[in-house]
Amino acid sequence: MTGGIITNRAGALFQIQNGASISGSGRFDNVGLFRKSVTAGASSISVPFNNYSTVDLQTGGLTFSGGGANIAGTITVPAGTTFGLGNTFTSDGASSITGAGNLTVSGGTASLAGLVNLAGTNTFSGGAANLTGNYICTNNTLNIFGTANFDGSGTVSPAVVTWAACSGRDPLTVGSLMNWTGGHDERDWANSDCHWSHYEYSQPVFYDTLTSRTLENAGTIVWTGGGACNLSSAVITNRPGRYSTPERHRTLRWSGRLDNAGTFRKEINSGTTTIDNNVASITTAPLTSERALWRRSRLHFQHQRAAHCALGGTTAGTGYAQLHGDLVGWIGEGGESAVVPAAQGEGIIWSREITVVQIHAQRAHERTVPCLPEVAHKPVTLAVEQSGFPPSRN
Amino acid sequence: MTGGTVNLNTDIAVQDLDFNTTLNGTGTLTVSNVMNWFAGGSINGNGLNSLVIPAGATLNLVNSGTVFFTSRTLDNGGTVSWSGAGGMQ
Repeated sequence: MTGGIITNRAGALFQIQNGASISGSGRFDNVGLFRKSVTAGASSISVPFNNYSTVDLQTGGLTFSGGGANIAGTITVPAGTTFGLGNTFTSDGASSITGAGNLTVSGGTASLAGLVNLAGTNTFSGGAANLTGNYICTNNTLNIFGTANFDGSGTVSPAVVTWAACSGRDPLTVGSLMNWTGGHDERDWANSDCHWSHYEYSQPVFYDTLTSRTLENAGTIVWTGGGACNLSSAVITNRPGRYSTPERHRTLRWSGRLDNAGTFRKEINSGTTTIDNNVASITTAPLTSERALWRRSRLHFQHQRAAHCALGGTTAGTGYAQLHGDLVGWIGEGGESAVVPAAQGEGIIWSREITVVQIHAQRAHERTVPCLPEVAHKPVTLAVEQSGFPPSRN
Repeated sequence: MTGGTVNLNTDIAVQDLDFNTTLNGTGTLTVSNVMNWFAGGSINGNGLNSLVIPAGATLNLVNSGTVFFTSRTLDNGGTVSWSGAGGMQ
């Protein structure tokens, strides 16, 4: 159309029975019934589509590529169909987009304040989606390659998540697999958590950012990407019995906290993982050889403000940290200790008062890592199980 | 209407219409029963007038190719059934 207007009045039917599309300029106002049916083709409406009544997608796909609005209207998307938004679109609180089909937001800004409950794959591939209403996404697949802001009241608990960037206050619970492929996760989830049971962290070389939120791992984190993870007032919690496995070269930086009550493992690749640049603290449960293993390479904690480790045990591997391989490490008592281990060969340098009871090194097969407390007011005891790491006392 | 150009500068109503031409002008066209719109048909207006499909009437878009709709309102109170594969520009 060129400046045309289509008005589908109350009680009227506008039915597309194939994949035909409307392009150009003008607008489409639907007060009646708009239906896409019969064939599996996909139709695109590239002029603004304003729905005040009912959109009935029965087969194939329907994309409002010209944007528009859903004003107290209903859009039904059954299984096997895909409803798309490709330009700026608003949906008010009285509207609904529901069904067993798929949702794709590919461009513009989609401001969806009503009910959005599509049981198929939800994909935010471009533009931004502001989900401020009752957005429900459970036991399905959620892909976020654009930006999605979850600020509504619904439950976001998909089985599989692949994301690059999202934000919002809603808790996000991942039932099966979460793929974080890259980009900036700048969610402002100050009072919410992110739960997942299996987490594939495979972002490319640029940074990811966690902002003001908690990533709570009750499953497995497998970090295979080459990029870094920036924490900005964020917390990563590794629950007991779980495994967090950063591989290759990794950097966890900025401010935030890593609480490890499970296993934090560095393995497979020979690269160095760095916990760097003022990560506020690293709190961990009593470490055992099963709970803190870094294999075949180094893990550096640099410029830490505090590294906490509850102590009290007397059996090796249960009451104090064990350092495996050519690692520099830390240990403290009562959760108040601090340690700033420098790079290998430079020694372990305590940056402030510490209450270290014991440092236990095991299989230290490379250069000596002397302990050089700078501001240590309490005794520090080092114990070594194997040769190659001579004991030091300060 | 097949081929050529029709300039409609007054409001008219017809019962049935097979349409494959170019329609211009300021008048409103009302089809009270069935209109079949074929590929290549072009309906143009002045931005104020309409093509009216009232309640009980049907517009069949049976266009194998593109149809054109410019500066006019398609006012549907009945049924638009679009079975053609062509688009609308």
